Amino acid sequence: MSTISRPPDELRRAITADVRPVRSLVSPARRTLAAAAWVPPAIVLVLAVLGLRSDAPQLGWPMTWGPLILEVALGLVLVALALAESVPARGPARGPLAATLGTAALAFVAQVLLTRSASAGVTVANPLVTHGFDCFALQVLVGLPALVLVALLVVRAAPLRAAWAGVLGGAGAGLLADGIYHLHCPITDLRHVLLWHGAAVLFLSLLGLTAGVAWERNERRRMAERLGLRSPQTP
Amino acid sequence: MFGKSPRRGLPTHLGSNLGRAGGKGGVGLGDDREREAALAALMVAYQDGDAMAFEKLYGEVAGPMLGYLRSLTRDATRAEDLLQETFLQVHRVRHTYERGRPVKPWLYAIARNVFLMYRRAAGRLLRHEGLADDELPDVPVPPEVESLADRDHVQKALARLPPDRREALLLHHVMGLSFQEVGAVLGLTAGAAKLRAHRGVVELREFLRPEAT
Repeated sequence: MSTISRPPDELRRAITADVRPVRSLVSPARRTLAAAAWVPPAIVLVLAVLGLRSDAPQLGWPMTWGPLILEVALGLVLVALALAESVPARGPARGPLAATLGTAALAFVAQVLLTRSASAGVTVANPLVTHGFDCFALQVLVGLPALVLVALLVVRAAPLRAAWAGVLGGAGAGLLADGIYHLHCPITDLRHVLLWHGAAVLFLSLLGLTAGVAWERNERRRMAERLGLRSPQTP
Repeated sequence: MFGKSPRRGLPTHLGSNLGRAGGKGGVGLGDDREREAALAALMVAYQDGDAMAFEKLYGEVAGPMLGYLRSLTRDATRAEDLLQETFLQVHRVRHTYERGRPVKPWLYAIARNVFLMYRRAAGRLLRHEGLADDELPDVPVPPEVESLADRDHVQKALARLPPDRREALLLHHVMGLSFQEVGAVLGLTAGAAKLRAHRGVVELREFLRPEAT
């Protein structure tokens, strides 16, 4: 096998033209802190604008704030995995990745069931419809800034499996939003929570996935143009 | 033979490159850890804006990376294109190398991703390109099986391996990555990477048995 000691001239010229110093990226765990910093202001904002859930006295401190703490913790774990995924050779293995996503889904369902067992909440005539879309839209609105923040942190690095990073970041943002929105929504009917609040988490995950897939396609297109597999797009 | 640590001896092409760089740039040649530390030092200098460090890094790793890309593409010319593309990507994302971490898994993960993107982008073109199923271009041969047959036979046997096993086997036994690092490159746990590489070697030996050939 031949040895290669020097880069080809074309490559060397390209590198030499842009060899400015760069700051090494900090670890995924430290970058996760940037996403975590978004949580307290979001809680304050939701409580100030929408107010604390009306059945909070019934639920007590543990069941009012416990699900928030659980979901925020798991959401940040997913965000940390998304940020790890965005650094070459730092992404989690498939097994642990699937296990973490499964745990997050189970935790979501568990906190729904526990909250329901602690309080009957506000009764609505048709839990599948009433307030459903409002909750969905508001929860997505709460989660969107987190998703945008995570997406910025991900693309600042180099996501090799951007679709995975997108799903993880979206699911993380979705769990953060659900945990925070749990402080406001007093409807504990399982049909309402699993359908509409679950849909908000899924929607943010799909949004992350879509952004990741779009990123991958764009990267692939640019590489194909450089390799001459397709001609550059005309404006 | 199939222990946890990467094998000690480096493939001859990498050894020669290290020798050259070591003589010129003071890169240590002691063992794997020293080699890895030397690569990390070059990477840090490169991040700090040292163009010479890039050239030395290229000299150290381009040979084995080309071998790796050849084994993935089964096309020597295309592998060279992808090697240049890999180094362009390396340059673009050099800030994502975290100081103090091993360089090789980071580089091989980028190279692998470049190949995967190429494979998806090329799509149908690939069906008409490249070598036959039982052929590989000149790729490095695992030393564990080098003595069992001549190089041509070993390469033919390598070509018959399932791609995932061949990849894990080459990354560990030829490129010298630990199973932890192979797992990081392939998105697997260290145990799964070890299993793949081990099955690859067992299968390779099977192919190379005199009665099999």
